[in-house]
Amino acid sequence: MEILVLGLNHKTAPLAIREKLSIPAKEVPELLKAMEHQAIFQERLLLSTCNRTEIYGVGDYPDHSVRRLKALLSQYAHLDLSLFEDKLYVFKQPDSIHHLFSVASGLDSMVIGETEIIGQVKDAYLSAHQSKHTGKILNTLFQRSFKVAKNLRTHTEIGAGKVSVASVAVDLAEKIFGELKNIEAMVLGTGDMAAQVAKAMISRGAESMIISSHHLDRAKVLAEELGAKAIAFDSYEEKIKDTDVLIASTTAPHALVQEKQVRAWMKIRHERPLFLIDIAVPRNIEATIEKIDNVYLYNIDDLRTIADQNRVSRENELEKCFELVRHQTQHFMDWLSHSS
Amino acid sequence: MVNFWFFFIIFIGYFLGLVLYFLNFEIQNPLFSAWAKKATGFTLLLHLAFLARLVFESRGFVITSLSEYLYFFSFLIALASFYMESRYKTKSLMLFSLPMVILICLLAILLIQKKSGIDQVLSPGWLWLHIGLIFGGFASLAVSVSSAVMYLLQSSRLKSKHIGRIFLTLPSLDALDKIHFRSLIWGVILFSLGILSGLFWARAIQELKDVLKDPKVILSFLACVTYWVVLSLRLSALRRGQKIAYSTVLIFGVLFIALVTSYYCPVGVHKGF
Repeated sequence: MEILVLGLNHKTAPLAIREKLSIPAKEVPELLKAMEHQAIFQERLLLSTCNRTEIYGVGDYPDHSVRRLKALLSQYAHLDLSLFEDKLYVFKQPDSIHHLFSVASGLDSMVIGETEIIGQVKDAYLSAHQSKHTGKILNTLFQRSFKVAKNLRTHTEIGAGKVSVASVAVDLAEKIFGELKNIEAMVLGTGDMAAQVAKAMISRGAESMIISSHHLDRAKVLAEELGAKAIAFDSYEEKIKDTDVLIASTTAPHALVQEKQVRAWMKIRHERPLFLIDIAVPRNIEATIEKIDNVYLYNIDDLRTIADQNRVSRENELEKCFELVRHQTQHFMDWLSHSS
Repeated sequence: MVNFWFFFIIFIGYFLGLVLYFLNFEIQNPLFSAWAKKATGFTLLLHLAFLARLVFESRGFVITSLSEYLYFFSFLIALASFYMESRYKTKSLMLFSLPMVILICLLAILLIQKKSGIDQVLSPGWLWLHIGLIFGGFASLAVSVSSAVMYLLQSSRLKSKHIGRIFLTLPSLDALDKIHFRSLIWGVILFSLGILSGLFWARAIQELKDVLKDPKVILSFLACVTYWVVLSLRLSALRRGQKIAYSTVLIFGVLFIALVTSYYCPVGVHKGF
């Protein structure tokens, strides 16, 4: 019996191929059943995300299963095998085990150290387990992969710090205000980046949000999308007393928010901390504002610098992570040889 | 000599706790966090047991020297910080309180041979109320200093935009402000009541006139008034954040000088402890 993985991902295949071979969650049980009918592996599991499609299998005749599986995928995607066969990778054990541990830990992701993948691996496992396609080996292997992912997160800094501008902004807001559910956020402008930051805040618990723009109609559209409230740009200052986070992202060619103005705001806000996020170019908020007590001002470059630093710091942790993964792979191989 | 070893064991226990808290802060390993809590919790229990032994030996709670005074004081700071850390789930409060606890323990060890000559005036009544309130206030103010230092560190990280390990490890400004504000309120109230009860005690033993000649009383009174000014500014929301945190740390410095002043300037009611 051998553990094997066959698949493709963002490193090996372009989007055009990946989207053809992307398998929606509802179609996974059907495809697993088809594999069973064709005697492809004795245990099998299908993991399909936007960046990868992988089939993990356990069986006695791996080469035979791989041939049939390639044909099945070609048939499913209505794509000639010759068009994507060179994009596929096949790993046999122990590489297949090492690969799964790396995938579950986010080491093989496009954004290194991201956590979304562990949820996707868990979902894929649950789906295969519920439809009885997994057995002793895949059950143990996947349970172990969840533990490895958790251990890596605990013992290394692979997940420390966010790597996107929007997530960095949200992290900073959390370090100022704690939980975001009690804060009031306001967005000036309706740009894409502002919408991304606003969405990230909402996903982390922010409940109260105001969108203000010179174009009230656009503000209303974005507000509806976010479940926020839209107000006219002229009246945004009336709401500033209760605002904790102000995201500025207008196309104005000059600074809309001046130092004098913020000093006055801080008085009426009773010196409560104010987080200003200026993601507009040219900047919407006067830079001298950052010297005011309890005011934290970050512009797009500041956020990008932090995101880049975090990315480098994650990359620096990769060697340590792979060392742990190698160790865990060996550990699993020992278990495998004992149990067989 | 027995006391020396007791104090020393407690000192080592807290020191070990500090090292583990530091390792957890640096390496972010939950194992260190769990061991740091265990080491500090165990030392606290040991500290309490030694205090109980002192009570048992003297058949009543008698503080006869500055050393014992510091020994009891360090226990209260450690206990208050430990409680606040658990209550607000801030992993690193003890890291900032333990250096203070260790410093006071070290002073207690260094001053162990120095007995005060005023045992005879220690009697139940106002005195115990005075000592209890002052110590309670002091411990709470020590926690406010730890949280203020953490607040200043975190806000300076946020202001400088150099996000690093400290930024990731320290709690949010909001959580630190809550701990700081609450411990400051309790500290100032208890400390003020402690000063008041001290005045009543001084009157009871006919020493009221001499009280104002005592540098410890003068410094404590000065610190207390300044604390009330800072607290009013915070309560009226005229000042918040970094400035209040800086003030708390500075005033506590004065209070710490007041704590040891009776040893280095032995005059007045508090002579010798």
